[in-house]
Amino acid sequence: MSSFRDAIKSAMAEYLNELKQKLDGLTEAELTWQPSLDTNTIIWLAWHMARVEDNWINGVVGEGATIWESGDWQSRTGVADEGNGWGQTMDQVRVFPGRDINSIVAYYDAVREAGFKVIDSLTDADMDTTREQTRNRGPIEILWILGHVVVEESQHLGQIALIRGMIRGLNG
Amino acid sequence: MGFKDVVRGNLVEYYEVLKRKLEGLTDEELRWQPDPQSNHILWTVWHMSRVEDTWISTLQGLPGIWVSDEWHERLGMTMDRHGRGDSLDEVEASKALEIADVMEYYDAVREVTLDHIDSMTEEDVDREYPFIYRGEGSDKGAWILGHLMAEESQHLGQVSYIRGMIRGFDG
Repeated sequence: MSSFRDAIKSAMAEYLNELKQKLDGLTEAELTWQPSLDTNTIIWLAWHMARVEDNWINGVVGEGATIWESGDWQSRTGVADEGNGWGQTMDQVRVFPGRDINSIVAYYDAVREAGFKVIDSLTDADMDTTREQTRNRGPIEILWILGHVVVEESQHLGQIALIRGMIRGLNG
Repeated sequence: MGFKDVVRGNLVEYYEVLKRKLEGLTDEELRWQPDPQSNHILWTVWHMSRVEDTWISTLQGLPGIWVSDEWHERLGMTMDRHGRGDSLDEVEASKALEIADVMEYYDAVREVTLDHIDSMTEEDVDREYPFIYRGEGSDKGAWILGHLMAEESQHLGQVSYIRGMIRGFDG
């Protein structure tokens, strides 16, 4: 066991929990609102967060199928997209087909359940082993992937909180 | 190498990305608010530095360099300021800060942070640390580290997003 692993899992539990709080009660108009033409919407960000974690943890680190693929989540969320949102154009963000936030959160819960099993199966010695990533960047250490997932996901959560604040105001 | 290095790597990454996101921003951009109730980048960066100092000093059982090295005086603030629960007036008043001073403080905090993380053992992560700012109670070391990682990167995401609103895509 590693207590530092608990710290990573605690960070992950915190950002998913807070994501759910920040999504609570938002209308479709609010979920798809853009503060400027070049910015992402809350629903797109939530979907992207789930896809990023699924790809990195279940796909790359776990070396298995992503939950997106194995759980038929394309049809369940209505987002017929094989990618994870990385590098999408603003037009793609604007026409994002997802309208059902509950199915995106259900997908994220499934990603997380599988992902924690992957993380629990790792040892300290696994941290400097490497994985191949599909974007052809060459081998990447698991060490970097886990740290990066927490930075990236939390950043997107912070963006969701900021957009919600712009819509609802302080404490809204 | 082990899970401890994941924590260290996470802290290093968000700080490097923060420095990139601040690059080239003008005084006006640093103080721009997307709406009257939103934080500006300068306040957010100052708050990030205070959050890191606060949590690491909690782990150390020390007052933090904001107090012990008198950084609060250099930044013209009282000892108790960290940003949590700031009023809109306080966010407005923090526009008097200079980014160079804030980053000098944050660099000093960062040095303490990495030294402390390097010195931490598994037992240190497992034990409870008494609150220093929130009354009675304690938090587990693992929770504190997890929270530090999640909170700081959230604020970094806000800095990036506000920069994107000002500069546009890839700006």
